[in-house]
Amino acid sequence: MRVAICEDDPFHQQLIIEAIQNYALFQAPSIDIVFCTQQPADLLAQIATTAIDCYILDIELGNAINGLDIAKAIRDQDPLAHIIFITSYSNYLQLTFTYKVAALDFIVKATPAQMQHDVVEALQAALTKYTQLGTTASTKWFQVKMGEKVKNIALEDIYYFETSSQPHKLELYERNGHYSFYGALKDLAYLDDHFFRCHKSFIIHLKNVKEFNFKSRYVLMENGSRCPIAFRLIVPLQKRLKSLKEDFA
Amino acid sequence: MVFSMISFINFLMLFGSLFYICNIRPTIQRLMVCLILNAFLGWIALNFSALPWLALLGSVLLNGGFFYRMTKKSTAFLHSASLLIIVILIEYMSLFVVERLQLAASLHILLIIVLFTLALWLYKIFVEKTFHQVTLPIKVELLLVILSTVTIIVFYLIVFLPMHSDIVAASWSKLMMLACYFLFLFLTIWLLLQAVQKEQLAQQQTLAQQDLYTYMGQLENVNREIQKVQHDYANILLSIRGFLDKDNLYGLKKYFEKIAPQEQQPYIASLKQLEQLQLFELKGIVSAKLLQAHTQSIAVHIEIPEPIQSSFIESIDLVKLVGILMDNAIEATVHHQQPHLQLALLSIQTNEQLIIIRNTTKERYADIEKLFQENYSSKGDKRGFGLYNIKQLLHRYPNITLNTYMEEEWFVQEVRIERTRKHASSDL
Repeated sequence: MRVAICEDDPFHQQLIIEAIQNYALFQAPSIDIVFCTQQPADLLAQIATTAIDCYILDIELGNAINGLDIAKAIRDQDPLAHIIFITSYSNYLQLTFTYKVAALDFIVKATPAQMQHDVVEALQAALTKYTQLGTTASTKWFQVKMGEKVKNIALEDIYYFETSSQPHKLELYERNGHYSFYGALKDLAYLDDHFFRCHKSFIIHLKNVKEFNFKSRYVLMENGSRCPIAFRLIVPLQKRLKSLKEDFA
Repeated sequence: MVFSMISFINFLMLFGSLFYICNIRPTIQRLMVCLILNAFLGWIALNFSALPWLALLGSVLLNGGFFYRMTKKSTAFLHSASLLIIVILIEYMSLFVVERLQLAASLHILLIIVLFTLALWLYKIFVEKTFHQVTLPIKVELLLVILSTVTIIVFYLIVFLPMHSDIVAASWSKLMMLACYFLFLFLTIWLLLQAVQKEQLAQQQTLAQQDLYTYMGQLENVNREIQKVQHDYANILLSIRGFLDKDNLYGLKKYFEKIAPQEQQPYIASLKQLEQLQLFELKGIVSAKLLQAHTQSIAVHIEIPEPIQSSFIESIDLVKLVGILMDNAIEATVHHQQPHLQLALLSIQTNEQLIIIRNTTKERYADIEKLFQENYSSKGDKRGFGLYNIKQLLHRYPNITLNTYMEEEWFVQEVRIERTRKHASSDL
């Protein structure tokens, strides 16, 4: 993972470099600092030519270019980049950075030891995400976007999808929340075998069903919601359940 | 055969239209109840044919009552009465047309259906335009019930006046009378609702003004606080100079450790963020909720990085929405060991606005959802209408998206409001 650092304070810059080098040396040899600067303008020039996976940025930067602007420029260039912010104020516009440029992490300038610890922790998180990008992890998650922030929802937590009362939208109910987004149920056909469209406006997750009631034609989900089963889909549903059971055995 | 078909059409017209007007999904059970009601009314009409008003009164009361049970709105009675009149009106009208033009009997039914569909559609538009989002005060509701009763009486008088021999002439005069009455009724209701709406708007504005006064008061506090901080800093610098003059580095170090962690109070920083908010009603409600949270010793944090000058939905609805969401957050966080409330108002490019509200909570998502459910009783009577109101808002504004979820111990409410064509001209 290629890391770039932009920090105008030489003291803190040195701290960060040290922390990263130590971490890379002993635990993660794949981490490499490819660029390091005190000038935001330099970094912006560099983005165009160098491939960088992870950015560590000081938000205040005492410069004409605002941290938010740099982050936006990076986002435009590389939508998948990991951005870690360093700030002197705790909570400084944390939500703004999360939702406008999908910042991954925030490090608050405190004591040197604390800061180095936080840098390593943030790097670890970035590395985990970075390696996940390469594998097929995306099939395990359903993503809902709000602003630039992407919320990952584990497929196994999903109860069901339903067409919304608002036009062109779908509702998603899961263990930890409720979301709505633009889409159509037919676009969700790629979901794995545990999902079943049991009605023209419902796709349910078969593992999160509490009770199938074929007589009254509904399924009771674990959160207590009821989803109807279309008459013509009873037999296909039973077949699917049977095949899932066989797979399991 | 023909008789049963006509009664079936009648049934559909009366109940189907009620389902349609009240926006209720007709399930099998509900339809069964309606059928039973219908049968009972038919039985009354047959057995008490000497007292025809009994069946009518029963019809309005029973239908209205049943739909009132489902919608919890007294307007159900009004709908029930006025739909009955519409049905009768349409039947007379088509009878009149058929007789005049010497048309076939089968056309009669067709005409009834077409006319009724048209009338129903118009009525629905009228209802959505006038009744939308107006919470009616008790006296107005009473007035509406009285109007329905008067309507029934007038209706009875007109329909059961002694019949003339000439059926066409009779239906013509009745048609005119009913139409006049109907026009009068609609005009009254419309004027009434207009008045109520105006009154509520004025009320809302007074509230917003009060919120703004609170905000101004808070700003004065902030001013005082900042002056105090400035004074403190002057003192701190003086003390540092004292240590330096004596070359007392150890003392300076200790002193510095003691004062360094002082940061600006988050509450004040949050109030300062409100400067960016140029929608005064929203500024009012946010600062009021901020104060409320602050007095309940909830740590607040607000982010408004860019000026917000316009709203993509009616400002009255925006205020309602933000107020409910912040109430939810405050309610969900007060019992946490470290109650935190965060709010961000962001604009994404020029066509989207985000409202993000996060708070710490010790509840699980399922319990939180229950907390905001309509009529959830464990929290006293006044609570719990939040979710219901929000659902109505979402129904009216397809450009609002709401997500709510738990992220570790944070409860997150995200709202996205997209610019619609209606607001395309307003600048951001």
